[in-house]
Amino acid sequence: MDSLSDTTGTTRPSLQFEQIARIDARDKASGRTRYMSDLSFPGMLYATFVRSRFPHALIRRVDTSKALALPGVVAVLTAADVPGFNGFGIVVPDMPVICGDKVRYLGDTVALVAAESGRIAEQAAKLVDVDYEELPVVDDPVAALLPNAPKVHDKGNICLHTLIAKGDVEQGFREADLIIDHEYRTPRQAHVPLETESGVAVPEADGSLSMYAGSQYAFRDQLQLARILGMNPRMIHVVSNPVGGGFGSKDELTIQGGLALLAMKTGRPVKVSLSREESLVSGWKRHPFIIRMKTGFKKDGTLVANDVVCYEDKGAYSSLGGPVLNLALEHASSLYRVPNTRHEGWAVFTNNGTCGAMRGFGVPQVLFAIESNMNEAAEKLGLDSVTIRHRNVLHQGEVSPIGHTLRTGVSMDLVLDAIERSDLWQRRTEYKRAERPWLKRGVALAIAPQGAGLGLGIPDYGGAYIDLEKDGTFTLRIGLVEYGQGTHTGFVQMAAALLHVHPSRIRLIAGQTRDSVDAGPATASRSTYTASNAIAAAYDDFCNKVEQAVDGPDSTGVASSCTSRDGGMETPAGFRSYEQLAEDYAQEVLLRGEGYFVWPTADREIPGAAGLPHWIYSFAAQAALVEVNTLTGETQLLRVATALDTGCTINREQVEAQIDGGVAQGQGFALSEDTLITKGQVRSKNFSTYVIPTVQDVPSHEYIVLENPEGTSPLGVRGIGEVTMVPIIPAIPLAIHDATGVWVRHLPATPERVYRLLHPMMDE
Amino acid sequence: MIKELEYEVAHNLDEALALAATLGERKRVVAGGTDVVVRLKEGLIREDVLLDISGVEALRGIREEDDWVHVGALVTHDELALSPVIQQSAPVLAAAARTVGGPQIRHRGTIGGNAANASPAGDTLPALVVLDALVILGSVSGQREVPALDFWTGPGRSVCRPDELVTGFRFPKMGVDDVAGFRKLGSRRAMTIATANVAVFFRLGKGGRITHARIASGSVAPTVVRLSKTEELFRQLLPVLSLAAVRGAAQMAWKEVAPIDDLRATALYRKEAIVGLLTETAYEVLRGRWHEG
Repeated sequence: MDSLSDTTGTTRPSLQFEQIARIDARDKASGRTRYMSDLSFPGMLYATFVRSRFPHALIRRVDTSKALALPGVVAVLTAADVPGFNGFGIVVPDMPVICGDKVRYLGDTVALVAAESGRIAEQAAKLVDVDYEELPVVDDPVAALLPNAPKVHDKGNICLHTLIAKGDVEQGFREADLIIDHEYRTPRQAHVPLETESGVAVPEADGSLSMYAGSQYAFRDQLQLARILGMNPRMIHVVSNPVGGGFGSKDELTIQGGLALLAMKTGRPVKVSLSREESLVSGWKRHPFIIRMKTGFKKDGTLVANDVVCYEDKGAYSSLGGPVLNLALEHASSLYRVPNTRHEGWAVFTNNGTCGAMRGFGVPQVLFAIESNMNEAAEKLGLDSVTIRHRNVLHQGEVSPIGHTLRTGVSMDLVLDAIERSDLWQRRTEYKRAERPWLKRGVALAIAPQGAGLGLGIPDYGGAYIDLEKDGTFTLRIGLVEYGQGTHTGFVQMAAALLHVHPSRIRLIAGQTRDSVDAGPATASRSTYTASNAIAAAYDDFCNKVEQAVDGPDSTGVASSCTSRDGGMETPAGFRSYEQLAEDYAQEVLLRGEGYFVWPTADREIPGAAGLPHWIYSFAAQAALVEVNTLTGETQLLRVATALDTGCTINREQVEAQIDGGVAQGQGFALSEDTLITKGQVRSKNFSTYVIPTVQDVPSHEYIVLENPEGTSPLGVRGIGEVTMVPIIPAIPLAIHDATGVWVRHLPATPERVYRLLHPMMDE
Repeated sequence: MIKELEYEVAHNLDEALALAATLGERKRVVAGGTDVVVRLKEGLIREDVLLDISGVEALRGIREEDDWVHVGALVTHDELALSPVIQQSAPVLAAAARTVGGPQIRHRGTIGGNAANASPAGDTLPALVVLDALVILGSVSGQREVPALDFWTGPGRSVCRPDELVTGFRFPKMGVDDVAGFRKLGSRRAMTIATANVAVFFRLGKGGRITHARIASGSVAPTVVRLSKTEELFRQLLPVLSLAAVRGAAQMAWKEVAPIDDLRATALYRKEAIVGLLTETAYEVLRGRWHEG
C-alpha cells in the first residue's frame, strides 16, 4: 500500500547523515558527465532559430524559398507548420513557438531551420526573408500602463494587477512619527548558467519523441511539448538531467518546442546549443522592478504602515511573471509586524526582452526596498539596525503583513540573533579600518524570509520510489533534477540514513519522464524539502512491503514493525541484511517502496492574489563588509557573514557551497549585473559587458548554520537555495551607506552610480 | 560565424616580413590571437588572410642592452608580469600586464598584439608611453623606431604600414630615483576592459622633488594620451606627502582627456574618474619616497 505522508510530520531527529562528497563531483570535475549539449546521434541535424530583427513588429510575410534552396538544408518551418497549439508558458501559454503575425522582442522565433551542419543552418537562417512592419517599441513599464500606449499584446499591456491590503495605511501614516518614502530600481539580472539552452530532439521508430534538454521539470516539459505537437504526452519522453546550471532560466521551455517541431518534421535527430550571445538576447531574465515604498514608523522603530507599489517589467511574454509579482508582494513588508499594509503591483508587458523565473523570484527586489527603508528609519530614529528589526520581526502564530497567520516555523529572530553574534558584526569597528584615506569601509546587515514551494492553488506534489535491486543495493527514483545545487547528493544521503546503508549503495534516477517519478519542478527552494517527505514516505512504504514479503498474507499492511539497522532490517522474522532480503524476496518481483507527498498549504487564499500565501518559509540573515573607493566609486565586497536556518543540515559542505554561490549571485545583482536594453535592443550580449563577479571579486565567508527543524518535514529540513542570495542584496548598498553616507536606491551599484552619489554632478 | 579565410604561417622573421610585404592590407596578423579570434567570431575582420607569426622565435624574449630593455613583440602578458628584468627595470609595465584579462588571455596575448591592435583601452600602452618606449617596426626594407606616443593614430589605427610588423619595443631602464605606477578602473577585479587606466612615472631629484613627470591615460581619448599640463603641476609639487596637494595637481587631468559615452561608462564619469585614478596612483607612488608634512 502506498503511504501518504502526514502533513504535520513527525521529525526523526536521530538520523545520521553520512557526510560524503558530492556524488556527481568526480564525473563533473573530470569531464565524464554527459550533459544534453554533449550528446550526438546518428544522422543528427543542426537547428537554427531565426530570431526577430525588430523588438516590436508585425510580420507581413515569411519567405523560406531561398533558405530551402540552399544545399544541406533539410527543413525550414514557419508558424503554419506547428501541428498543435503554437504557444507555451507555464501559467499562460502566450509565447509562440514560431511567431506568425507579430514579434514582441528580439528573441522571438520567426522560423526554424534544420540543416546537415550548424554552419549551413546559420547561412540558411540569413536567407529567410521576413517582411516586417515595425511598431513603436514599448520600453517603459510605467508609461506602458497609460491608456494610449502601444499594445504589446492584443489584450493590452497588463499581465497582472494585484492589490493586497490590510488595515488602513492612511490611518497608519497619521499615527506615524517618521515616514520614509522612496523609489527603488533593480536590474534585469541574467542567470548565465555555464550551459546555455541546449538539447537534442530524437524521433523514435515507434513514432514517439525523445527530448534531451536540460531543464528544471521534465514532466511539465512533456505536457507543454504534447500541446505544441498535438501528441499524446505518453509518446514524449523527456530527459532533463543533468542540467549545466539553471537558476530558474530552464524552468520554462526554451529551445525544446522548436527542436521537437524540427525533429518530427524531418524524422531525424535535431540539435541546438545556443551561443552565449543568443542566450543573452533570447533567454529568460529576472524582472526589473520599480518599487515605490512609503513606510511609517513610531519613534521606537515600530512599524505602523507600509504602502508599496511595484512595477514589474515583464518583457514580452507571461511565463511566471504573475507568480513572481505576487511573491514579491507577499514579501514587500518582509515578515515584519505591520498593522496597515497596501501592497500593489503591476506586471507590465514591454518589448524589453522577456523575463521569467529566477532564484529569489521577486523577493530580492522588494527586500532591497524594505530593508533599506528599515535602515534609514533606524538611522533617523537613533536606533541600530538590529534593534529596529527586533522590534518588528514576527514569530510563529502571528499575523503576516498580508493577513495570514504564520502557522509554521518562523526564524526571523533566530537568524537576526545569530548574525548579531557573528564575528563580522561584533568586530565591525575593527573590520572597518581602511588603509588609505580615500577608501571607506562599511558593514551592514539584512534579514530575509523566502516563501518556499509553489504556493496555494497549485498542487505541489512530490513522489519517490525506493527499489531494492536483486544484489541488495537500492535504486532511488525521484524526478527532481540536479543543476548544481547538490540536491542529488542530499537525496541519496537522506535515503541512506533512513535505510541505514552507506550512500554508495544507492543509485539515483532523476529528471526523466520514463524511469523516474514526478516530484514537481526543481524550483522555489522546494527540492530538498519535497524529497525529504517523499523519500521518507517511500521508506515507510518500503518497510510495509518488506513486512508483507516476510509475513506473507498475515501482514496487516498498516503500520510496519520493520525498522532499518546496520545495512538491513529488523523484521517480524528477525534481522535480515538487504542482500538476504533481496535474495529471498526481490529476485522475481520488484520490492518497491512508493512515497507520495502533497505540500501543506494555507487553508484560504489571500483575496485577489493567486498562489498566496506561502506556508513554509526559509530564513537567512547576512552581514556585508564593503570597501568603497571614494575617488572612483568602485565597491569591493570583502567579507560576508551568513546566518542560515537549514532546519536540519543534510550536507554541510553543500550548505556552505549554496551560501558561496548565493552570495556571488547576490553580489552580482547588487554591484554589477544588468542586461542593458535600449529601445528593445540588447546591448550587453556577452561577458565583457554583462558583468558577473569573478573568483577575484567574491568575498571571504563566515558561515553560521542554524538547525531549527521545520515541523512539516520528517527530517526537519528547509529549502535554502534561494534565500542565501537575498539578504546580501540589501546588505551591500546598506554597507555602502555605512561607509560613505550615501543611499544607493538603484541597483546595481556600479562604480559610476556610486561615484555620482558621492560627487553630485558638477559643471565644467 | 567565423568566415573562411586563408591562413599563412611564418616560420622565421624573414618569412614573416616577406609575407607582410606581399600580403599588405589583405592580411591580419595573429600573434596570441586573443583579439583576432574574438573579432573573427563577431564578423569584424575585413582582411582575408591571417598571417600567423606566433612561431617566429626572433620575436620572443626580454633582454637587457646596457641601460635599455628590449622586449620582443611576442612576449606574453604573463611573461611581462613575471619577468625579473621587467619587475626590476620597468615595474609599471609588469603591473599593467598583470591587469590584462584573466590567466588564459595573459598566457596567449602578447605585448606586440596589444600595441598593434591599437585599442584605446589597451592596458600595456600607457605603461609603454610613460617608459618613453620606442616601438620597433620591421619590414623587408629595414627597421625603424617610433616613440610610443606617436605610434597610435586612432582607435585601431597606428603608423605601422601594411608591409611592416611590430617586432618589439625598447625603453630605458628605470633608475633608483625613478618611481612609477599603473592603475586600471574596470567593472570588476579581473577579466575586465578598462573604463579608464593611467600610468605614472616620476623621476625624483634633489630633496625628492619631481624633476621628470610622465603621465599617460587610456580609454579617455581616441588613443592613449600624455597629460602634459598635469605633469607640469606635479613637477611643481613640494616633496611633502599630501592627498589634497596630489589631488589638486591631478585635477588638471580633467582638461586633458576627451572620452566618449559607451556601455561601460559616460564620458563625464570618465573625466572625473581619471582624476581619482591619477590621484590614487600618484599618491601610492610617492608615499614610498615622500613623508607627510
